[in-house]
Amino acid sequence: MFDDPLAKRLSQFTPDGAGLDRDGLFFAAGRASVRLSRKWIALIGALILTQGVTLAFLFWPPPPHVAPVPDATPTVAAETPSPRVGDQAGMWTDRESNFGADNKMFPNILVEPMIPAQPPLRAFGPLPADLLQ
Amino acid sequence: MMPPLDFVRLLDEHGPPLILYARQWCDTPEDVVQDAFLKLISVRQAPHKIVGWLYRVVRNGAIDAARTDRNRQRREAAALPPARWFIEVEVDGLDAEAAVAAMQRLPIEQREVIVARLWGGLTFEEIAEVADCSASTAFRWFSAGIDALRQELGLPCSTTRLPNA
Repeated sequence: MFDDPLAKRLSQFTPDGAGLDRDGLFFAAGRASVRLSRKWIALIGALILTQGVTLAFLFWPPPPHVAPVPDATPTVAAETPSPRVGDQAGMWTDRESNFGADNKMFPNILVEPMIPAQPPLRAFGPLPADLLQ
Repeated sequence: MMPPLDFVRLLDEHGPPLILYARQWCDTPEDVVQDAFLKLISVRQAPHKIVGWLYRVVRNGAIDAARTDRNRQRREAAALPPARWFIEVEVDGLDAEAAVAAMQRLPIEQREVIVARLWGGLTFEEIAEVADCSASTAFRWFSAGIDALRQELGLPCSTTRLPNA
């Protein structure tokens, strides 16, 4: 390989590589060889963002309750006037409808006797005539 | 994505030469090489020439590490033992410490090309891409560095192999 004898003799020396930590280098190389793809980075970022928004909604203090301020201009409601308490005509009209002209309450209701008067109720039928004689 | 077995083979084959390559600039070559391999895993599309790409990344990382850790390196230089470049103590009569000492006296351009060529197995064209120079310049630096090493080590300029010391 080398024409010069000194170069040939020098090349027979073996460089000392004892200072190289092979195990440590392989370990570091294994870690360095792992690359995170951009899709995973984007997915992780989106998950972090959504998680943050969710936590913000959960733990954000609610706004103080503010009572509605009434409108300055009063609104006039179109109400129908209620009958006055002392309206005599209304009172008498109600009384007549309830009592009627004969001054009886509920005059239109027909009251029938609950048990008819004839014939009287007996446990047995009428006695035979020969027995009565 | 590179298959795991290819990654292991690449690490076993080029890890130690890359450490030696990074050692030309900084005192923490293992960290630089580890970062380069991690970058290789992390890139979305694997480079066309993986070995050349690794050498370029290691070169840039080692130069940066040398700039940032220069003050710390000065403080720790006295406390730490000199880093071992090679496993063998001696190869074919050539002492490793002497060879390392001779290489450390070379200019960084020549050292870089020699390490990349001899232990990295890169061609001069690949070295030129890594070192931002032409292939002819890389070849010139390599030849000049080998000649300087020969002089430093006291070896005659001949093609015949020297007997073992």
